[in-house]
Amino acid sequence: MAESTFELIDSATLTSSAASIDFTGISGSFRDLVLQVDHPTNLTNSVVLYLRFNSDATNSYTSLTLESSGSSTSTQNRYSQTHISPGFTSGYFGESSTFNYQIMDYATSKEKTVLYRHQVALYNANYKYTIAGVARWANTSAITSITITGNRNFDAGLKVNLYGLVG
Amino acid sequence: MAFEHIGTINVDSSLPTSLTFTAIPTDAKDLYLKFSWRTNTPTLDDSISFILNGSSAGFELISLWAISSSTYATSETDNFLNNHKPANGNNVVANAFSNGEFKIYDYASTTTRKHWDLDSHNADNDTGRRCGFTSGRWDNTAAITEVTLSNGNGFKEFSSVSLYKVY
Repeated sequence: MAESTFELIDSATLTSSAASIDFTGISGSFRDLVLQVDHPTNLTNSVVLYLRFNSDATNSYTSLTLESSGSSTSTQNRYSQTHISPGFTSGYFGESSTFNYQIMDYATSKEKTVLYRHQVALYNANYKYTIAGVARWANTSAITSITITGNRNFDAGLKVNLYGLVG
Repeated sequence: MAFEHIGTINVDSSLPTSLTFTAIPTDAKDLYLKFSWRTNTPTLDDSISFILNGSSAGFELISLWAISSSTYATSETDNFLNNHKPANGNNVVANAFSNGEFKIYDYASTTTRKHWDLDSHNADNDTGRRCGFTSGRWDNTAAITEVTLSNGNGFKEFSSVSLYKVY
């Protein structure tokens, strides 16, 4: 019997508009966390996602994002931020998209690293991109809560899953 | 997609120069190797040698990486990851370990050359950061039963690597 090492910790699907989504009481029994945010096609508004750990609102988050528009590349380099933001929009022009965040070594006394990918970002024939990036939370505390907010309220229908990877 | 944990190597204070998984079962599709490490090299970033079945020959790779707001691209015909530099050296701030993952596709096949990817993040200090994305090929059709990561100056205590099979 294969050992189950990729476990769903919690999930949320918004039934009404909301300003934030919180996962609290996260146990320290996994190696990594994987947070997946699915923006369905039927949502009205695009939103820029922000992540915050343990309600820490100090300027301790940095991120570096690479973008390809198909014909050119660019980067966004952010530091001394109060949250992690890839700087790009999840959901646009009625297209679905998925943001995938890997929150690594979240339960250790190391500073925390996040790898992220915008899995689908084909908006229309004239505007498309894909992104990949990394972020750091300069804090050695174990992550026990994650707060997801945005530059505006989330529409009903937004889906978020939080997984744990044993190891 | 299901993950199965094969094993984890946790580094002690002995500064080992190689981390090796041996006798890897060949009953899955892909391998994922997640790492959190820091080397004893007195630099900000450091190279890591990626060795399969004890062999450092037959590697080709292409890398895209960014340092703060600048992007770079290169190709190599070795296994040193000299440009990507996926490890933090020992001159970074305390408690900062680089994180990332290798994916090795169709590792159990005995008829195909092996392709692999590497995504990683280095946190140099509060304003400097580096991320890299590499795709590589090992020009060998043997099933992969051994994976080694090495660094001549050794891996620092609290570094760790975990290996998973993916079905």
